[in-house]
Amino acid sequence: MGNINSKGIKENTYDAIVIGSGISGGWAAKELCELGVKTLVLERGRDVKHLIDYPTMAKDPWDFPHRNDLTLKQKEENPVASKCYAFREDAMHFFVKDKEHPYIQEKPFDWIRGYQVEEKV
Amino acid sequence: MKRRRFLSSVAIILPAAFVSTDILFSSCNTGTEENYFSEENINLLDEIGETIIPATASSPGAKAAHIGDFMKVYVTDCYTPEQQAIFWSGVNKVKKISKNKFGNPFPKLAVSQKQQVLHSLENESKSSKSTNKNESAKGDAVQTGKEETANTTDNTARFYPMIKDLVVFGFFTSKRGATKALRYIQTPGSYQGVVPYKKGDKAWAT
Repeated sequence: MGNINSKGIKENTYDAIVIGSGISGGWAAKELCELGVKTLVLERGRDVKHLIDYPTMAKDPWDFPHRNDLTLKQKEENPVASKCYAFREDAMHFFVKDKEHPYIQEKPFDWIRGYQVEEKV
Repeated sequence: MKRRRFLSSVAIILPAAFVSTDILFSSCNTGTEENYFSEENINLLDEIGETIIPATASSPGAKAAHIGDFMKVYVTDCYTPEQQAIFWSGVNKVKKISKNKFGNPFPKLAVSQKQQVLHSLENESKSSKSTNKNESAKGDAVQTGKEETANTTDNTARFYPMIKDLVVFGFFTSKRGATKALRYIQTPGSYQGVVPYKKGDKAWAT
C-alpha cells in the first residue's frame, strides 16, 4: 500500500560505521559485529570475486608483453606505486595509479593504495 | 622478483643449460647505422641470441624463441634513452667488427666467427670494468647508464652484459625457452624441497 517507508530511518541507522574495508577497517568491523553492534562498512572500491576477478591468474610469463616488467612510462607515471614489489604487469590493475590520485608528501611517504573490498589484505 | 636476481638465480640453477652463454655475439649489417628495429636488425638480434643460446639436440635456441622480437618490445618500452644509446652503439659495433674482421654481415658469418665477434665485445666490457674499478667505484654502469653517455667506447663496453641479460631473460621467459629448454609447470602445487635429479634432466622454470 503506497511507498511509505516507515522503517527507513530505523533501517538506515547504525551504531557504528566503518569507512574502508582494509586490514584495520575489516578487523574493526569484525570486532564490532561480534560485540553485537549494528555495523555498516563502506568501501569505495569494487568487490573482487574469487577467481572471476583474477584476469592474469592463468597467464604465463610469455603472455605479458614485457614479461611482467614495467615499462619506462609506467615507472615514470607511478613513482610511488612502482616501489611496491607487486606493482608489475600481472597485478597493476589492483593498484591506485599515482597520476590518478596524487597526494602531498611533506616528508617522503610511500602510500601504496588499492581500491577494492579488503583492499590489500 | 627483480630481473637481476632472477638472472643470477637462473645462472646458479642452470649451469648445464648455459654452456654457451659466455660465447658472445655479433652483427649483421652493411655498415649503415639504422637505430631502430628494422627487419634486418631483428634478424641480427636473433643471430646474436642464437650465438649466446644456440639450439641443441634437446632444446631450442634463442632464435626459435623470437628473441629479436622480444628485444624490440622490451628495449623500446622499458629502456631509458641512455640504455637505448648503449644498446644501439653495441649493435652497430657488432656490425662493424663483423664487416672489418670477416668481411661479411654478422648473420652470414660462421658460428665460430660469430663467437669471436661476441668474445671481443665481452673482453672489451671486462677490461673496461677492471679499468673502471681501478679508477673509482662507479657502480653498475650498465644499469644506471647515466654517466658519460656521450662516450661511445664506454657505451659499447656496456653493451655485452646488456645483450646477454636480454637474451637470457627473454629466452627463459619465452614459451619455448621455459617449456622446452627448462621444465615448466604453471601450477606446481606443494613445495618439494628435495627431488631426484638424473644427469641430463632439464632444470625447472617453475
